[in-house]
This record gives sequence, structure tokens and C-alpha cells, in this order.
Amino acid sequence: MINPRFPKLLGYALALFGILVCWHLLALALGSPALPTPLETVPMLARYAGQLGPDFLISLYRVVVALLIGTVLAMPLGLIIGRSPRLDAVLGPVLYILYPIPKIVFLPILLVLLGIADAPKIVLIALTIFFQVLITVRDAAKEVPLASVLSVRSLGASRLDVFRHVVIPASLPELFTALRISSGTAVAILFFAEAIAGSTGLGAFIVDSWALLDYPRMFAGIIAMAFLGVVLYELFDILERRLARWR
Amino acid sequence: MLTFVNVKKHYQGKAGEVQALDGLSFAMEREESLVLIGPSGCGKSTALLLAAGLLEADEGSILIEGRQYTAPRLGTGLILQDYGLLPWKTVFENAALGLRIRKLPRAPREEQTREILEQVGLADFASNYPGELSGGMRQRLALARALALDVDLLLMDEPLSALDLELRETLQDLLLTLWRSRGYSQLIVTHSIDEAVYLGQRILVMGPRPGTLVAELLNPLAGSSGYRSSSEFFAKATQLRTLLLDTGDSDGVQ
Repeated sequence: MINPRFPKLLGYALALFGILVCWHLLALALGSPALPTPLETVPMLARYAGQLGPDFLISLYRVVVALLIGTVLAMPLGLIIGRSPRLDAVLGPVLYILYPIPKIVFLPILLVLLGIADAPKIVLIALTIFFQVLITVRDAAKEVPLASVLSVRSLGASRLDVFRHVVIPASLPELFTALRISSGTAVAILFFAEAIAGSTGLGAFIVDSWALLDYPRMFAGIIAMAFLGVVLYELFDILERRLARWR
Repeated sequence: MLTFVNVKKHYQGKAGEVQALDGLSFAMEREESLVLIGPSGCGKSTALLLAAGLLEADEGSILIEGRQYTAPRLGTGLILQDYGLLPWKTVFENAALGLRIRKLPRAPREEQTREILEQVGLADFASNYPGELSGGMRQRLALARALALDVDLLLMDEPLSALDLELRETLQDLLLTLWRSRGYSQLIVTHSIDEAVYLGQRILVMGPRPGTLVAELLNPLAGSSGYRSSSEFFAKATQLRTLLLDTGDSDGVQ
């Protein structure tokens, strides 16, 4: 059997190469200092490693903690609402009113309430994750096959047993889909929050470079941000493989 | 064993209120193999869910060994049409689920599970997932899960309808073998005439909606070896077919 990790690494290597080539050609074609070539940018990664490394870690920390908080709060609530038509009738409209509001608009109030350190950024991202996970998990919980629930209940299962053995595992794949989709939004919000408030994290690094008109430095920050996304997606893949082995 | 007394049940359908059962009464003997046959929508599946304690009757009473109940009862097994297996659990975990829910300690739980998987012929597939099994194997797993609990009453809703003919006959024989060796009572809901005659010592015929019984057919040879190819079997099947035609509910019955 071939090592399943190999094609994945190969895939990343090919994708990276393709992107760098396109980027290089585009930079040459534009000839603008605002779009440096990869040859100018990549050395900056090494040069600013001492600053990029800690900024990368603080950004990763904020996103991961926010993902955890958002999921831990939304998952049980989504499962319960999904299995209770009455609760859904009451809370469904509330969700639909609050969900489409871009949570970034709450940044000013969060900055006032929580200061400019980690807390407002984490809360803002957690809010975004919360609604997306809540709605996806609720819908997944609604779709659990009746035959599975009835069969398990006929074995003497309590409501809690039904959640544990049927509803939660049935909703896990949907949870990961929600996390993958919302982590894109999460990184965007992270960038915005870090750019506006505070001086740490990749968002601040990128905006500082921009202010200095140091575009190669700025693009080194962008590369680090892309890597942050890759780390998140790979994390989800690993978790999903462990928690949803039957797929 | 199981008694229905004038049971009525309605549910809210898309087009308004549906009377699924309108005064269903029957009594089932201990260790009997009883078949409930009728056209689709006659309320036979509703009757089964009521018997399982998963629905509550509007009127009338349902008793097991003379006692009323309103929740799933220890000792009653249920197998639904599409089995309701859990795709995220292995064959072994699916079969062991009832014992786990009943909090049986690990050692006897594993022993009993292995035993029942052996009996239904799935011992070699214990670590597979249901998604990796054929239709017939899934049916065997559903049987194992229900029987792991050592039931005295097994309820089955169209248990073999998803399988092709050859497999159906093999599994009908497995149902009979298990029934004879383990000595429980079984209530089988079906719309197949051959299946009813092969499995049911007594066959209750339900009429079209609202569901009540329209006829009863005694079939004492059911379960005896070689019955399927005997002339008595064909005579009985013809008799049942005529009965269904006479009551005007042949629609959906094969």
C-alpha cells in the first residue's frame, strides 16, 4: 500500500509551486512595488522570523481558542434545538435575525467592554463560529433517521443515550463541514480585529508593514496567514479522521 | 403474550388527521409466530410501534403478559424496515448496544455479543462498519442487535423487504431457526403473501384504512421443514391471496 501521507505532501508541494509561479508572473507583469515577486518576499520570511513566529502563534492561539469556545457553546445548543420542534419554533426566528449580522460590527462595543488584548478578538471570532455551528448542527440533528432513534429507544435508551449514541455521532460530519467553512470567515475577522486593535498577531504585522510601505515584509505576513489556514484545515482533518472513523 | 384490545390511534398527516388504527384487537400466544398482513397504509406499522411501546394508543389497551405499559419494555426486541443500524458503530458495537445501554459489565457483554454474532453468521465481520455490509448481512446485524438482549417478544416491520428473493428465503429460514431455538414469540408485519405463509402460524389480515382486522387464517404448518415446497404451502398461499382479494385490499400486497 502506498503511504497515504505522501500524495498529500506532494499535493501541497505542487500547489505551492503553481501558486508561486503564477504570483511571480503576475508580479512581473504588473511591475508595481505593491506586488513584490516571491523571490523578494520569501527571504523576508527568514529575516522577520523572530517577529513572525510569535505573531503567528498568537494569531493561531486566538483562532483556536475562539473555535473551541464557539463550538463548545453551539454544539449542545444546536443538538437540543434540532431535536425539539418546540424550542426550534421559539429560537429559530431569533437565530435567523441574529445570524446574518456580520459580527465584526460588534468590534467597537467589544473593545470598549473587553479592552484591546486577546479577549475582544476571541469573542468576536467565537460569535461568528457560534452561529454557523449552531445552525449547521441543528439542521443535522433534525435529519437523524427516525429508524435509528426508534431502534435505539426500543433497546431501552434514555433521551441522553439517544443523544450520545445517535444524535451526536450523526451530527459530527456536519460539524466539521461547518468548522471548515467558518474558519475562512474566522481568519478574515481575526485579521480585521488585529489590524484595528493592538499590536500583536499577523493582522497587526501585515498592517504595520503596509504603513511602512514595506511590501515584501507585508507579503511575508500574508504567507504566514495562508499557512495559518492550512494548519487549521489539517487540524480539522486529523480530528475528523479520529472522531468520524466510519466515513 | 401480547394483547391488543380495541386499540385506536390517529396521527397528524400532511393532509389532516389520519386514523391509522380503528379498534384493533388480537391476542398473541406465548412462543407463537404471528403475521400481520395488509396493504400499505393499513396501519400495520403503527400497530408494531404501539406494541414496542414507542407510541401511545389514543384508546383501548395494549398488554404484555396482562400488564399495560407506556414505554419500551425490557424483553421486547424491534427490527424496523430499514434496520436503523448506526453507521458510526462497528458490527460488534451495534450488536452490543442494547447490552451497553442496559449497563451490563464488559465481560458478559462481550461474551453475549460474540455469541449472538456467531448465531447470525457475522462473527467474522465484528470490526466492520454497517456501510461495508451487504443487505443480507445488515439484516442479520439488526437481528443480532435485537436478540442480544435475550428477548421474549420480537417485533419485525417488513424485515426482509429490501432483499432479493434468494436472500429472503435464506433469511426466512434463519428467522425460523432462531425463533425455534430461542423460544420467543414473534410478530411479523409484511405485505408479502409467501412470507406470511412461510413464517406465520397465524395470519391476521388487516383491511384498508382505518385499520382493523378483516380476517384470520390458521397456518399450523408454518415453520416446519420443507413447507415452502409442499402443496399445502401453495394451497395456503392461494387461500390467503383469495382472502385479500375478497376483502378488496389486494392493493400493494404481493
